[in-house]
Amino acid sequence: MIEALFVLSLIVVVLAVVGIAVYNRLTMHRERTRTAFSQIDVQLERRYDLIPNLVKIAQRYLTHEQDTLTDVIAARASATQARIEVNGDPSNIDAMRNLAGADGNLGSALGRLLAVSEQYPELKADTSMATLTEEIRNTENRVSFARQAYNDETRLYETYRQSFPQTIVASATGFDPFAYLETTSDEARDRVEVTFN
Amino acid sequence: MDYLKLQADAKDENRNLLVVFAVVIAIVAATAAAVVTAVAWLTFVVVDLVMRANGTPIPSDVTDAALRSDLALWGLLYLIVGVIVAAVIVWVSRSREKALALFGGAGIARSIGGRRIDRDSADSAERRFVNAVEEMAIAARRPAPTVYVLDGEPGINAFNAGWTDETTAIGITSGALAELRREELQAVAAQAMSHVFHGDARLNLRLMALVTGVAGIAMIGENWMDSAMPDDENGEDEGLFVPLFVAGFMLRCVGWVGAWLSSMVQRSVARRHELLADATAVELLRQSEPVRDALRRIGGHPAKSRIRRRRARSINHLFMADAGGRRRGGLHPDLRLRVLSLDASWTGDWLRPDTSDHISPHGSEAIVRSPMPSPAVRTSTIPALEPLGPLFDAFAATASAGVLTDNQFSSGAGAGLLAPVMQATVFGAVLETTAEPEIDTARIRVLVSAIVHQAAGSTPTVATVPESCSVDDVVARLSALRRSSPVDRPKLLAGAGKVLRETGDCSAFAEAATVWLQTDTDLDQWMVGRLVVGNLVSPKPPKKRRPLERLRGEYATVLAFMAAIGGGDARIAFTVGAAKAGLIGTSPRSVSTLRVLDKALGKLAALHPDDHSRAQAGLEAAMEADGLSRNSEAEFLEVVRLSLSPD
Repeated sequence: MIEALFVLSLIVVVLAVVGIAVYNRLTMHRERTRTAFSQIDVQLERRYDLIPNLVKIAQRYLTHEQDTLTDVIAARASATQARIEVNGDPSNIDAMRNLAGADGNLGSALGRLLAVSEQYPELKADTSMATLTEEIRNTENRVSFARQAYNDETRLYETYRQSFPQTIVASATGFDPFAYLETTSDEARDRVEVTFN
Repeated sequence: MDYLKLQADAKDENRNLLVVFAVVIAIVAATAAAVVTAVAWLTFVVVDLVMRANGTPIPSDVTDAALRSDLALWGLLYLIVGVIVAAVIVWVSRSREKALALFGGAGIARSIGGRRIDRDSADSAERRFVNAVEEMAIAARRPAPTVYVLDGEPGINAFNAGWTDETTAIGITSGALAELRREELQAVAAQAMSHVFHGDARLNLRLMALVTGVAGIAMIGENWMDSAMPDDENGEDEGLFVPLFVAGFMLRCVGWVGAWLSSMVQRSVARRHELLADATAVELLRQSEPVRDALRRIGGHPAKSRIRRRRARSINHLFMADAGGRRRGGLHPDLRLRVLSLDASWTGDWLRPDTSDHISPHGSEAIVRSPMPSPAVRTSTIPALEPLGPLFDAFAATASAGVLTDNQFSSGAGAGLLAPVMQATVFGAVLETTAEPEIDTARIRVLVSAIVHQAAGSTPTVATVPESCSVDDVVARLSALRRSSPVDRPKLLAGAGKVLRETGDCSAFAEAATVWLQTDTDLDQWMVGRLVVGNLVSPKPPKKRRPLERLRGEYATVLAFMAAIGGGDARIAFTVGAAKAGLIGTSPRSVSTLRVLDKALGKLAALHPDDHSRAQAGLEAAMEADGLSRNSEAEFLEVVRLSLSPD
């Protein structure tokens, strides 16, 4: 009887130790993923803040391209809104999907604006535009590298969370899945084309 | 390049380095302790002998019981000295590490004349680089380092310095800012961030401190030697204190050998981590082209990656590519190897400054490509051959059709000794011309002799060699054949082998040829023999096939030979070849005799057919590493190809 109790308590202790280790590991992964997401958040905000400047300069030259400019402004507004809805929580899958879509739209609208601006030599010659182009390029890269870093962390977190026996600990202690932030740029572009037509 | 494997290897290596540190320290300490103990013991024995001779021996209870016979005492001495030496090494290393670490990355950057730049810089190229560094810091999930520029440096190079993420600095030359495009600047930033990511600067610092620590033992040895020398100023006639001098001298030797060993470790680690940083840069960027092109721009720039300021050369190990100077060459992998690791299909073009034109690494020098076509070309149909008389036409037609009937053979070629003449002609053709016509003729004479020997069944003399088999006749045919395209020759040779196998006892011929060829065993004859035998006798299928990795040693021998006969830098040729064959890190074997080479080729016959193309690609890369393909190299390539056993 005593032996059985001893064995039982030993099993309980071992399970508890394993459970605590898994829990700590899960927490580490989750926090790293959240940190990576906050980095995207920072970069997205930076990107949305830059756009009014760009539009202001472009407006001076692109008098015949009001549609393109309006698209950019509209896309920025919806992306800003989507970002607010996510509210720094990457486990909010639906909001994350909206954000990915809105951000993709903004990316293609910006791409079109930059492509159009290539046809206006005066705009290209504007020194503040040249500076701004590099700024936007830098911001785009920052966003995409931050997204890459976030997705890498999410992959590590999800792989760990979904493996056995971590999945038991994760579901018991409320470790929610995180959504990947993929800009399926093709999809985004398609959607833009639909609105144009 | 297998990035995951490379990274996993690097992680293992970091773990193993701790062991390496311990082993180096233990070996040096043990050797130094052995030296000191042995000298002390010998001194005691000598003193004892001298005192006995003088009639005043040390009391025997001291000599026998306490010292000479008491091993434990000597063991204790050995242990104490060993521990002291190890402690000295660790202490010196640690204090050196601390002293070096006092300089943050910024301190190092400023000490070599770096100028700090930031996002608000007026220069657009500088701003671009700062932006690129920040982008890559985000990708690497590290804080953004401070950025410096080395003004007045036309070469393309960059460095990273600093021991913690927070104090890291990244520097770039003004030449790189001017020459590199945005993606390439990003690649340079990614490469530097990769070093930060892997903590390479700190690792290197530790290794350098270890070198200093071990060298400290040598300093102690020198100090002892100085103390043992007679001190003239004292005016006392002390004489040389031999034991101390000997112990000092030996300690110095141990110290320097140990320091040399640890600096080898340091350099090899630095080289491996440079390749790892390239791979990690690709992983951060998710594309390899920018990294590859940045390296190609270094290779194509007149100033390469050289740094003018001498002070910078003392931190060569922190630079992305060789900064030049005294310690040149040991710390960075060959640039070609690095490009090749990123792009296996690279053909050796560098990128010229300002334009994207591709230039040859050898400028206007004509590149002689291999006369041996690649296997893909070999299977194509034979273009029209130059007329070589009815005999040769018949042969060529057969060879191109791939089938030869006895009927065709006899109708076109006639009977008797025509086949041997044909053989001599075709074999002669594959040997190519050498610079000296006498050698050519001598080779053909050997061939003809062998062939006639086989046909006639007896040792030929001048009288027994028929008119149609004369050396002149074969030479005349050869000169025509050599004008034909290089594509035809191997095909013809293979055809000749087929003819012989179908019409006669070719192994007897091969044996005869080999016997003849072995009368002179210089390289030239050896090559002829191998070519003849390889073409006539199909190698026996080996019992067990092995992958290239298992035959690494044999392949290294063959590759080292190929690199050695190339005429260029054999070390580089070998490294490039090994990289192409996917055997990075293999070291060349010495090929002292042809027997060694023969043996290696024999074992290589068991190579698995899946690895054949890889093995050949490595040899071709080694052959073309210096941009020139010599005839001997091409012949050797053919020899190896023939040695590899097909399915």
